[in-house]
Amino acid sequence: MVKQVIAVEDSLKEGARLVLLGSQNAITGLSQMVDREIEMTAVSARQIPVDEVPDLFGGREEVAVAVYLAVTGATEGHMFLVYPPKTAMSLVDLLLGQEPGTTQELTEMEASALGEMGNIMGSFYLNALSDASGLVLMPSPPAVIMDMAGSILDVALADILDESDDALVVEAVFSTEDQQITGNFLVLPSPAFLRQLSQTVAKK
Amino acid sequence: MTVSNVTTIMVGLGEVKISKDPELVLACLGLGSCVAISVFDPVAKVGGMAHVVLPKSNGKTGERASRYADVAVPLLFERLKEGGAVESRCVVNIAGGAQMSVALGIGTAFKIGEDNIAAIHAALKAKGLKPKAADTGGRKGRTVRLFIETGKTMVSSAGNESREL
Repeated sequence: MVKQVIAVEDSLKEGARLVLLGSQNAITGLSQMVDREIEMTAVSARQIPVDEVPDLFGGREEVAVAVYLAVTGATEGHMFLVYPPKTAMSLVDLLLGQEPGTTQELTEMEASALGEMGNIMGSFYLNALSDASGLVLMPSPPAVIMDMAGSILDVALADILDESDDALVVEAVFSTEDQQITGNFLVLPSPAFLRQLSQTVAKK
Repeated sequence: MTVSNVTTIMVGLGEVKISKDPELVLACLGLGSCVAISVFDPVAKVGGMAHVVLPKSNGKTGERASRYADVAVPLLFERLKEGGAVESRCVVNIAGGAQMSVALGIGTAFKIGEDNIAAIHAALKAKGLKPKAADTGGRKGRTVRLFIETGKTMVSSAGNESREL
């Protein structure tokens, strides 16, 4: 049984549960993509002050690699896969079926592999949400960014700060059976989107 | 850069801070679409910084409203005046407002950075002020520091040396 933690206010619970389900599906997508068993070891949804979100990645100035997808359709939102550069390189090895440690830098080819991973995980995530809510949700093409964590996350944090002081952070931790790779899938849904999700599900 | 006894004070998302302490540095770290406004009065030797997140408050008030450019700019100058600054003497620098996530089809959808910069220019213009230097736009994140001792504003990006504005 996967450890599951939901620590959010009541009005967001239903939405958070759906987002957790979507994250789980994203990891299924990754597993199918690389044709390997990938286990989700923990999943959590919690509310933290917006200013503290970049601390999840070592602070605002810490360099990170992110795959970014915009969500369009019934709502507008942001999705990120954020990794320390080392983890991103291990992921590339996994994606390209290479020996661990082969990837030493991120060029166009590696970025495109990571983008494809974001594409698959993002689509699986949104499909699960669409199926459960009936809302039409589509991912944009992926953008791969390597920069300071704070600057990568700014657009999403700005959207959240427009209506709330807290961000809902959903993290799913996954790993391959041999621990070659561990990573997390992070989503920062906006409060407006969560309300929309909760309301649509309640009506069903 | 010489390392001296300076303490860095973080100016977080939506915060406005001022200082007259020459041993302090005000800093906005890892700015993407956010913009730092760094202001220094060289006579009163007081400096201030605002970390702008969004362009327009649309009537929102209270403590949280300083995350918007149209509230943050007047508030920053109000605080600086309390600290002895005179608006017309102030040196204003701005940095940030990058567009980080550029991908096919979403290029124009999220231009918060651009909107932030425009809103700051408008708020400064309303005071008859213009930035001395502006390092804005582009696709790279920035860290901005204001050294109260010298009044210098320094900007750096990931993997780059910091440079004076």
